[in-house]
Amino acid sequence: MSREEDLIRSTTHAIASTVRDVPPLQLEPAADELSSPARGPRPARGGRRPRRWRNWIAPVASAAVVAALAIALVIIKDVPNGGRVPASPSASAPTGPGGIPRYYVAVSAVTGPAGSPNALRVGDSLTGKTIATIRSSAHMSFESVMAADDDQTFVVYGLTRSGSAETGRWFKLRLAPGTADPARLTPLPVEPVSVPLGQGSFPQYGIFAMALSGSGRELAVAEVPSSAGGVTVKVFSLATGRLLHDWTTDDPSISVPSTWTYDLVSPSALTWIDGDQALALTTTDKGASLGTGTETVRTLNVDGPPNGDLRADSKVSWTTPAAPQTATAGDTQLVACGILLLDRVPPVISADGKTASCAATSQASGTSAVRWTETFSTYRIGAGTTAADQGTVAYQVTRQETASSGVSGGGEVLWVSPSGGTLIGVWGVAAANGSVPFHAGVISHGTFTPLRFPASYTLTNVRDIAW
Amino acid sequence: MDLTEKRMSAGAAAAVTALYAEHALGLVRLAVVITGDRQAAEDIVQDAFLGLYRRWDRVPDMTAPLAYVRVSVVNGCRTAMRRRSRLGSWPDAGAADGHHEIDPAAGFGPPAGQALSAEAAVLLSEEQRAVAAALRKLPRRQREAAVLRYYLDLSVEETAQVMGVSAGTVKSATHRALAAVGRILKEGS
Repeated sequence: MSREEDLIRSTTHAIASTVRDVPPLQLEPAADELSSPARGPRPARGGRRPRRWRNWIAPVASAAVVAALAIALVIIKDVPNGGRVPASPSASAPTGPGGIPRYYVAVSAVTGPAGSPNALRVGDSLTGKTIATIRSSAHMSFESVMAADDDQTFVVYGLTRSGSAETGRWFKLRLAPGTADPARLTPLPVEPVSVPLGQGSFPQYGIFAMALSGSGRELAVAEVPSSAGGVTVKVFSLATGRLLHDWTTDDPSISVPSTWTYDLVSPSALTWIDGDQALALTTTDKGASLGTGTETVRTLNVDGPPNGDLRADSKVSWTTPAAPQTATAGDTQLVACGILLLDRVPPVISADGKTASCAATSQASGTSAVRWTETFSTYRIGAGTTAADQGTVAYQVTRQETASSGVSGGGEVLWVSPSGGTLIGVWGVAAANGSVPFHAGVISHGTFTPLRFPASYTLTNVRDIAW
Repeated sequence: MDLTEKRMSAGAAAAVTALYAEHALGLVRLAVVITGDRQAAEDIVQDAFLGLYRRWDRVPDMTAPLAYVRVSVVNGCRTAMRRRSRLGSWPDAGAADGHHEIDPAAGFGPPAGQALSAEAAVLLSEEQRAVAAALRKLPRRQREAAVLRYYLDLSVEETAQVMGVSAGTVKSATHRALAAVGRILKEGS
């Protein structure tokens, strides 16, 4: 055993030894915690300090006050939401590198005096510059962003937390680059969604994926509707906030890992396809959270009845094992498109509904070096297809590293073109100082074209950016 | 709820409570080692057992409930750190060469000023404090691998199952963690 192993063992045991007792188990939250999401913060168990992550919330803030404060920090001017967005970018806005949309919106960290948990950064993929930054209020953090097809319309999801509840709201972000008002954020009339927080201060159910239609007129939301489980998909009009469609099921073969509702880690689980006529929904069966089970892509036809049974009204278009797929070849282990607990996100479905794209990492470890390969693949999907059917390698990169600190690989697909022929991919490469610079770029015809980002931007989650 | 369901619920509560009594301390300690936050650790473990209770009749592998809870605790630690990083103020860390640095310690482990509890700071030797600081600097995957392998003494395969990665990933992550800790200690000496 090495000296480092001994030191880690003794240190971790010493830290652990400072914990000598634990509070009693509480198997159910108090009834009032579940029924009164708008009340003040619940007392910490055992009289201890409240959780640190809650400190940015005002102690008691009504939903109305929170919404008002959130909106006050951005330019407020109502924009009619009813019109369909142009089908293509305006003539004055050329596309970005490789034909991707030119503008992106990213959830970004902010620096300087405290007050905003984070910000929206509007960037230009062509120049690499930031054209607008919109800070959140002190009471709301931006959590996810989605894009319409026109390269100008985005929808942002923001969370406020108050006491024992978490409330999500949607905002429309309209870009007008080159004008005096390059980005305008306005609240959407879709009803906010509140979910009580569990004992770990995480939502036990709620939204796990959302998608903005290409037209920019409808918002689709996938959620686990209650602590009993199940899956529901709802479609709202952005113009009126009205619920247009509602499918639900409690069939155990249509489920999602509980961790998906904790942190919106699965934005690609819901995608508008076929010219906004259908939705592709990725789910797993019940066993998937333990690293087993099947991942399934289902298609829901929006032209059908306004509500109904999710299982009966959908068709399976693709299946793949949800657990890591490991194929040993010599000393190389291939991890394919399965969902690895929290580490991976579902495949990204193209808008034509015919491809699923994902990234996979293989690696070979020696005593002094690590060689890894990141492979971006695209699979044809349709009735009866599975991940066992041969995929197409869109791009592959191999690195040989010395055994220094840092993590490498861990690639993800951030965006796909409507036909699935062009991807935006990202992966990390360990640096000698232990940091992990990210490499994001456009993948097309077997080539990788790096994208430029402002120097201060760090990408930490696939849900944080949209083109 | 009919009587059959009530009996099932009572049975689950008894079983989960017994499991908690036996393993909660060890799991809170594990979460403290990973997160450095006692309050968060207790919440994470409570939440994991609550999840076990709620899924008692649905989780297929209840022959190994401790393994299930352990996975939940490690996942809970990751989520807590993610949330913490999102709510904190991250430093700009751009590099001139066009690559953009993600601080591997950001969002994983407590802020530098709260790295160790007062009690831990007293109990740990100077060398152990240096090791704790080095662990805090590791990327998440390396740190998890090191803690699971050397604190819990899990095998490579068991660690892979808990982390949800391949055995090869565990090996490389552990190897790199050891190398990094050694290098950081050497630089600090």
